[in-house]
Amino acid sequence: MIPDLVLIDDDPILLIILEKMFRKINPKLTIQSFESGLDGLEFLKNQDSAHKPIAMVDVNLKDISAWDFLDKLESSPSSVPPIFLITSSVNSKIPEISREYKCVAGFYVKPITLETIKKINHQILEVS
Amino acid sequence: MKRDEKEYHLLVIEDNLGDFVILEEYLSEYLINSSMVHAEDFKAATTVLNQSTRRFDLVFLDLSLPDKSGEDLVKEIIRLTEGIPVVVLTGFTDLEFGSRSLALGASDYLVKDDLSPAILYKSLIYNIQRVNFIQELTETKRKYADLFQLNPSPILVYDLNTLNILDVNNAACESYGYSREEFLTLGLKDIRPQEEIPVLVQSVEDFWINNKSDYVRFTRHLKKNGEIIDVEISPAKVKINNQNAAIVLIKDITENLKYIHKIEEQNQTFKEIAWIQSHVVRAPLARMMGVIHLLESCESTMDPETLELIQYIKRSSEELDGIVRDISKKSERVLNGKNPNDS
Repeated sequence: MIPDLVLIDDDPILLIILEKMFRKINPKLTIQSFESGLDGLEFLKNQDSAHKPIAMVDVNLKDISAWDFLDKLESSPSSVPPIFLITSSVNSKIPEISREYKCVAGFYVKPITLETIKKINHQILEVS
Repeated sequence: MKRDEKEYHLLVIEDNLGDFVILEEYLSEYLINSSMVHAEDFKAATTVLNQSTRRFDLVFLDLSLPDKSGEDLVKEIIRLTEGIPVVVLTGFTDLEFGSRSLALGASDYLVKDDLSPAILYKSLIYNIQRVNFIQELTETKRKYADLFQLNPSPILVYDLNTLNILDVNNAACESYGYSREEFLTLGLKDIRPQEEIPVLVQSVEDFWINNKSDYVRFTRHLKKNGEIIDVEISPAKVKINNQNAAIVLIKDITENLKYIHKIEEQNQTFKEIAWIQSHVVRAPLARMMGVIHLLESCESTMDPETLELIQYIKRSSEELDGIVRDISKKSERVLNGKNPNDS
């Protein structure tokens, strides 16, 4: 089954919080979470191009840098899903660099609020 | 005839009273304010020279005195007069010795039988001025020697062809641990670590022969005790005894470099701390804030007291977030070379 949303973050507690928040806004949403960036990348690359799940990806993954992640995703033959980058860092350079990637649909500094979740949910509904 | 009004203070050492009177008379034709002291023999001259409170401008010395004469006399008087010009008076019989007395340090010699007021006066003026010039020259020479010797920075002079060290100052001896004598037996290669010698040869060639301006200013020198120091050099080309030589001013920057390395290390640690603040500390904090958000969204199911407590946790976490962001912002400004307190 293809999920509506893919969450990639090496912080398992954060994944649970995000899942709970999404469920609160939209109980019908199907979510697949990955603690490993490489596993998440592999999953996204192998998705059917017709259905593109939206993904939320942490910038500071342990096994792959966000820029590596985006490079590999954009260079894959299948179409690229819209990516929302999230970070706990307050380093202001990240949004500027992320603008160079077409697939980046948004950038959020943690904590992710319910308002942000609502916005992303809205996008998911539009895509599907 | 123009008279000289200067107050000359003269000593005449002459045993022959007749000769002294003639001398006095001749001189008084030109000099109106001068004072003259007469010593009849060597013993009297010694007493006068040792006890006189006023320095003589010139001494006239007869070559044969009853208690001393000739070479001995000239030597002793030269020693006693300490730089005052001494004009030797001779008779025809010892004319040859008159000229020899110049080698012993006398300023001039006059033949008694040829004396005239004009010759005496000319000799007086000439010899006083000559001694003054020599003193000025010696003073200038000493000043320049001091600039070199007493310069607080080490200075080396070396031969450009052989790279032999030709001169060093006191500071160089102190810095490198060699005595001046030891230094003068060394070449430039002896004060360089082995691995620096090819660099030395190349930079000497570049700077002195090819006139390149981008020669190596920073290098390493070897002290006598084997210690290696970092130095900054400022060289200039000079001619010494018609040989091409280089004078090099050396600045020991070992301590400065150590200091800079230390600061760089601290900066690196500081960068790491800044990174920890920005990324690591904030991650669990952001997660905690996420949980609070989630809790807040369930307010309808909670009793008011729990809700109040959640509000306290929320305020505390927001406060902590503010602090972390502030530290992160400040450290970022420092790393970008800006004042951390600028807005």
